[in-house]
Amino acid sequence: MKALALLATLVTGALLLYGTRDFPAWGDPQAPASAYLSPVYIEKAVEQTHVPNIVTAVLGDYRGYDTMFETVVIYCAGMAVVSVLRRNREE
Amino acid sequence: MSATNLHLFVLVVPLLSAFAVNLLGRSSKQWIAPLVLGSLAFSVIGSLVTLARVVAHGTLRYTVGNWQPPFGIELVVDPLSALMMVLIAVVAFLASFSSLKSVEQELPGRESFFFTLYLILIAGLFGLVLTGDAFNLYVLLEITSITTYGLIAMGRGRAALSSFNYIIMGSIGACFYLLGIGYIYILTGTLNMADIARILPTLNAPVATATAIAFVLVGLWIKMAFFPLHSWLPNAYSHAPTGAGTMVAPLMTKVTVYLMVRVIITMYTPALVFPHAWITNSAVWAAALAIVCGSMLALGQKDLRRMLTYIIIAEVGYMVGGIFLANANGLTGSILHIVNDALMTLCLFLVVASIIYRQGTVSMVSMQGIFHRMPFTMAAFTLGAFAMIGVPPTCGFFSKWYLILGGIDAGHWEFVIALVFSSLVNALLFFRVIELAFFGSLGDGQHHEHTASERHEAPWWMLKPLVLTAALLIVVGLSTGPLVNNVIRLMIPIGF
Amino acid sequence: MRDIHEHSAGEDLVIKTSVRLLVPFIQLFGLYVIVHGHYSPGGGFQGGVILGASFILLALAYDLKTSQDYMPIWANALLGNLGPVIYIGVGALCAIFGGLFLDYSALDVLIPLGPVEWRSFGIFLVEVGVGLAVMSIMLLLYWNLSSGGALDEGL
Repeated sequence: MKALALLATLVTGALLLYGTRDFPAWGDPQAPASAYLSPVYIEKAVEQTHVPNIVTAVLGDYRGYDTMFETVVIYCAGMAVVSVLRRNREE
Repeated sequence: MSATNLHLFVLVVPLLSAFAVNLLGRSSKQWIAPLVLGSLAFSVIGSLVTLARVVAHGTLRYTVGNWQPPFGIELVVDPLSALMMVLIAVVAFLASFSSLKSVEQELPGRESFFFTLYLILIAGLFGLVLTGDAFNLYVLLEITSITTYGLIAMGRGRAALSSFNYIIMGSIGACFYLLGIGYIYILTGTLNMADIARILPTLNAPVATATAIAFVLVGLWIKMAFFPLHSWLPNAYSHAPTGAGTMVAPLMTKVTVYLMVRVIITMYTPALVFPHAWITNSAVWAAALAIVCGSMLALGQKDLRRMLTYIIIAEVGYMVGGIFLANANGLTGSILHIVNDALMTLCLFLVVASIIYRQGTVSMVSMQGIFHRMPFTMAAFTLGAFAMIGVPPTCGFFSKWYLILGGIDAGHWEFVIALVFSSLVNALLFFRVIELAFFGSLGDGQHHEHTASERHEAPWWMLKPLVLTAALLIVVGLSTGPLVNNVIRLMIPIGF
Repeated sequence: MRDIHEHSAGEDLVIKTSVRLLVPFIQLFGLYVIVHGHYSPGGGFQGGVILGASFILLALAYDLKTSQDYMPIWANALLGNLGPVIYIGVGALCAIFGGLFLDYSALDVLIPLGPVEWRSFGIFLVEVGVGLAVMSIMLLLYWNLSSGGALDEGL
């Protein structure tokens, strides 16, 4: 059974590696990931949000909706642990 | 409150109520029911208004934080999203009546934690159907998954182990989805779904694109329990606390099927996913196999709730097969089946919850003669059974009809045969239960000491939503025409 | 609140004394990291972890009851729920006052700072919410996992 699991893992990894064949070169400044959204963030973040730390600006403002749900995820993880562990506790 | 923000308040009100339930419910339980029911009632009304507005005025595109996509996150409310919002709101609202009673009985002292996770799960489901951004979808998938793991693990006995099994499988599915989205970001540089659809076909990267599509789809298949990746579902849903199963079973897999529809139609246009015949053929064969195996496995179950979970696996096969038929009838049938199956599953799981509330178990042995003790509950069960089998005018007939038409159009006779076979097996399964309930002998064995043939119906509080759901099965079935023409037909891509 | 010298349970005297001296500075640093998320690496998540770690350090060096003296269970629950409510509340307020959800510049009608300046301040407010949530959930997880749900004896 474990041999089967190992085989499945290796096949998945091989598929993922094979899929990277068409990727742009690593760190290429003309790659879509660094030529489409990133320059706009780098140039405009400070003037649009008055926050010098671009990471915080993207996290808190441009993609603040995601950060809100990440906070809720952390909260849910805590609540799930508490609710499973507190068995038959008298309030 | 501006009218354009209504769909977001449908999400925010249950979410804020979850925190209120956590704070206030610790000290006194009487706050929990008004908060849960009040916030979900608001969501029902808000989502109906949103659906009416979207059908009248067209798709609503909403930019969170006032940043234009692709720099910010975009929410897209098109007719399918609005329909799913109404479905989630109605199902959650009706299920919460039953859950309030069940949790009081099964999990005393932990109601505040239960309903915190419950409301956050519902808010996460709303977020899933509203979003137009690929990474936002992942974050919301995580919220819905983590709350479901917690809700299921709160049960008795083997619930924690089943939840752990579900955690492993669910995390693998989410990880595959994230890998696929990562590949897409490297290839296109954007996370907005409409943008990805625009850029992806223009790239010259066939292998990476195919890998990305495959990993996203397999990740979603794991999460919706598509055969053969279904092994986590029967244990997780039958060992969960009754209150959790009533809401999770109708909604989670159906919303994941919606996500697959959204990914195929909006993010990867159908031209990219269905170009090769071998893809659609193998997917439809796999769906037919899912239907047959789910139905066969359901035959051997001795517990009503476990039997229903195997039927859910077969129903997922219907929906996945319908989409991969790649024609208009198949897609219509699949989307219609999302709505219908959610209502049918809700009806049957509400029956299960009522029976467990009264007698603690739903094993087949204990169902003998139950019709005399709980007539209204079993009448609703009969209606739900007819819907599952596909008897007109219940809603189940119409979605099966469209799926069969789609199968004939596409020439996939194995799918049509599997659908007919599944209807026959469902008839066998449900008539067996109904026969036990009607004609099973009373007074044989100690199960019936205390009740004999007196009425011991479920409480009024649990009965009313059950009757309403059963009535909805017929109402939705009769209004299939307007539903398909005004809402679903708008979602069919051109060229189908 | 009992005087710290009365807490006799716990580790060696050297550890107890050094923890007692360090915890206030760790908390001050955590608050610094939250507030300076705008100008240096940091922000809500990182600062919240540091704040939570300060209480966990107290629980490790002394015992669980001591950390509950300094952060009572009810206060922890309150802060843990307040964090996400602040974040979502700010977003909902923006929607109520005429803008879109999480559009901080719409809050300009409340306190006139200027729309772009409000974005910076709005990011700060939500980071505070995130920090509170992370701190209290970390502490809650430690308390429950180390005592198996009973919240009496720790590691």
